[in-house]
Amino acid sequence: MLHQFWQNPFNRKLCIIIVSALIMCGHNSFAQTFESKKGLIEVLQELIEINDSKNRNIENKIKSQTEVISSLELIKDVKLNPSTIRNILFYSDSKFTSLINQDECRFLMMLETGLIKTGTGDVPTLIVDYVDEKQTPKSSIVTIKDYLDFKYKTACTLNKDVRELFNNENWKKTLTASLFKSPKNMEICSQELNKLVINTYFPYIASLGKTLVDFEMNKQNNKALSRSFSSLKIQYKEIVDNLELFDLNLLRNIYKNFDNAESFCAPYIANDVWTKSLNGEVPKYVLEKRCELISGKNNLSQEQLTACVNTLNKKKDICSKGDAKGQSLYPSPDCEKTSEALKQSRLFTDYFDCPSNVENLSLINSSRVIKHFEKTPENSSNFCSGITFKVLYELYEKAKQIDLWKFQICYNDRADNSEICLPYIPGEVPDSPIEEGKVLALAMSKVNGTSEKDFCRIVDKKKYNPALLEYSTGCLIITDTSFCSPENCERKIVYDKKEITNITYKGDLRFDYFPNNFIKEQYSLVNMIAESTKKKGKIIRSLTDLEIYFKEFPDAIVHGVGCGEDLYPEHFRKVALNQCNPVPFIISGFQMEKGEKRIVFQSSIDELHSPRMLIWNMVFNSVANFKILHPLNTWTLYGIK
Amino acid sequence: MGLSNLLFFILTSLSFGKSQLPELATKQTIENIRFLSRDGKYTLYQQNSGSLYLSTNYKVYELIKGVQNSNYSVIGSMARENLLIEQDQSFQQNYSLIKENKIFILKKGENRAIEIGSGRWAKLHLEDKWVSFLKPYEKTITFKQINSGLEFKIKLNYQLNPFFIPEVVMINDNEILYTDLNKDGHSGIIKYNRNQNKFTVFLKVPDINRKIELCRNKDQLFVAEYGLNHSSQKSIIYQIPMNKLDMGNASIIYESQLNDPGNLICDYSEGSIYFVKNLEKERQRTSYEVVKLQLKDKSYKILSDVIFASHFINMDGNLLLPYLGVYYVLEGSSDLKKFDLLKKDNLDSEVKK
Repeated sequence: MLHQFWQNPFNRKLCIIIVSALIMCGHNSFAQTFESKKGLIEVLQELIEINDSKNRNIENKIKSQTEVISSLELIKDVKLNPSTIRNILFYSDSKFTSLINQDECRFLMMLETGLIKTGTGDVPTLIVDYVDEKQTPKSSIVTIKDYLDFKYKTACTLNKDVRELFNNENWKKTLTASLFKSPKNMEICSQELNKLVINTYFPYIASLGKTLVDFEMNKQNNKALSRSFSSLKIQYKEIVDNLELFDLNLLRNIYKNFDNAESFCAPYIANDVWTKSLNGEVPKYVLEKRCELISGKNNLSQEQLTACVNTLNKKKDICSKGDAKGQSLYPSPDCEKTSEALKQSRLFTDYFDCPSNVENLSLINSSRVIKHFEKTPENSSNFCSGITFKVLYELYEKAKQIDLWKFQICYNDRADNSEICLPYIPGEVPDSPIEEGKVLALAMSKVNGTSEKDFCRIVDKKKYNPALLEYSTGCLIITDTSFCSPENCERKIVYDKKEITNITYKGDLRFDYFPNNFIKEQYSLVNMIAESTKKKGKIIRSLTDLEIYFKEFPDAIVHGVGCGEDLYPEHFRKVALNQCNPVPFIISGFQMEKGEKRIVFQSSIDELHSPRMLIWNMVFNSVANFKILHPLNTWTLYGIK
Repeated sequence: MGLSNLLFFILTSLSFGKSQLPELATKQTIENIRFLSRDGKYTLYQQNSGSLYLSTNYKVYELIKGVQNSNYSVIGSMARENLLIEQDQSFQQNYSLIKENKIFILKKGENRAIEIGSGRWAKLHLEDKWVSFLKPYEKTITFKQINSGLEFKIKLNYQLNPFFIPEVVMINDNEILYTDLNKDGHSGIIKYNRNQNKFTVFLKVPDINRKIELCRNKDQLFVAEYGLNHSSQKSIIYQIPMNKLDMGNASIIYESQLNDPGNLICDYSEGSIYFVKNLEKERQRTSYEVVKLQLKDKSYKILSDVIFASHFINMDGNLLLPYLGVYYVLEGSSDLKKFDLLKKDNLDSEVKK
């Protein structure tokens, strides 16, 4: 701590002032210490001890006084004791003491808001000097509140107004009017910061940032049990519940960096989506999901996310690894290109899915379209195809077509020797009663007499080891969690280490994305989505159509189907006449690159959080080549809003 | 922007999507055709009923039956001995790059296709005596000798890319070169000796953002390496004599500081190779065209004029460029309608037979 203190140039200056002041006090012990030519750290350590000792002496002296003042009302003038001034210089952050600048009102406001401190204790008190009725100079300990009330009677009445403006009822309104929006360059940012620092409200604004930072630091350092923590928690919650992420980060940034324009402005002038996500300009999940992909951990702290941003900006190839589990097309674009695309992407992506585990890419695309309009985040899971199938199941439920649900777990009913099939949602879907593990357990209970309350856990075959205790009991579905679709899956059901063979899975991955014939038109996924979400579609035939559509409808996306070979010529080669592997995709934005328009493109084989930027012609060509193979000759590119 | 670039831009803007190349002329609609022989004597085409037909010598044969809307891909080679056929029975209902299709072989002169297995990305090798195909869920390449029961498999190691398609070249009956990805996602060429059951690394690419293409033309092997991402811009094509098969004997015949889409064809004509080149540097804008590289002097000639070419195929000796649903002829014969192809009335009656 002392080392950090010494590194700050202001502190060094301050130290010299204090050292000089103490020399002038003629303190012998200090003179001896100074003469002994000890290191500066040791000198500072001793200075703090000396200061504490002096404070203790003064406090003891005051406490021993028989005359204790209960109110400052009868006193004409009150001054801060030099020891209090010394304490302020010792215990307050130098960047705040430097702001005092001989402005008493600002000093009092900073004292009131806790930006400057008089000690380490929880109860804020001061030692003051005054002259009593008999004109005898005396000292006393008073609370900061009493001191401020006394001072505000005669001076700084504006401070009382500002206090009102930042009370529980008004603070949000006052704050919102005082904060600025994201500045776009360094010059504007510096100007905005300067304006903010000289604003009368600044101490209150900075104190809100202090509450956020102090709470998060205490929580991280496991100081949650301290007495002051509970009141801090209440204040923290009040702030967090009332402000947007951008403003929360702005408050943190003001508190930490208002004295350093370069550090303060860095997040706002940074052009990458990661920094923008960190400071709230784009949704926070954009960064969180990316960091989860590269670290394999979720619920990362603000500090971990900040470190992640640095990594993403330094190691650009780290994003090329995509999901790193082998569930989507590899490699993904690098971090720079991903960032550029994500800045313009409007697609909601606060969840994970896995194309290889679903196999039919139209299901992935449908689920992504539905999730975009639902905007409900999903927690990560071990077997993420569950999210896609859950969304699809809900679509069938809304369309009242549950009878057509194609995924079932079947067993033979011994009573009448008939096959009973139960519908299930493949994968892990903890909030659904027909999650695979629950339905399998139910089927097991019917045919093998196990408990209905059992749950069958999905275990990756690479991790499964029957010798381990965790795999020795209960019901397990052992499979390759990276490569298992309902139709093509090598899975083994094990109960108490014994393989179960009298239960079977049934699945059919055939779905119409766009209608393939007029008779079953209403059962196509596109029509079911339009019906259930009440969203209208619009055919998109040109780049101009696309641009107008996006400008007109800020939440609209465009989805379609094209030949994979035309969308990814670097991955899939054409060797035959009319060869086409249909790949559904979503267009979620567009932007200029080197003077040319690029489409922000999220295809169903790509990792959800790794969009690419394509030329419009490639997309157009892929749709045109698919159109000639479509049984209804459909142009498969539609906007949905 | 220089005057020539400006002129190019204006011209291409005016003629966007229009090519000066000859269009492939066929008697029936191109979307139903799956194969046209160079001499026009053989046509394979599909119908909505789901069947694939062979039309030759004024006769029509139903080669394969399928469910409605089945889709077929027909793959040939320069040996022109056999044709491979992939049948996708859920083409319009299961958009999957990893499902397995039925694979058939149609031998020269026969009018009956024989099913030989199921998988993806089938390819003919060694004068059409062998066939290989990928089984994505098994992650194996299956090799079958066409006129015998001989069959063997190679297990692949790729884990990170479920949509990976290996490049495969058979050196002889016992030796194979193929591409794979290691656990870190790096591409490499592996040489497999079947007799010794021995795998040796032929080439390892140290960057995860690069892919490899292999192409064999008789006694020459071509290895192309292209960047897949912005951060790895470079394309190289090596030539190696088949009798000195070692990267130490490779000579670089082409290099570019940009990522070419590639899709190399090396066996269309002697003395030249074809691929899709990134022409951004030359044209100062995004531009891809099919080029023909002369092996003799390493010069290249731009064959296409569509600006955004991505693929071209060797259809039994005709180099075709598919673009916006139209097939343009880069080299070869453009008018195939003067040959064979029955009139619809005759065709229907033959089908009924």
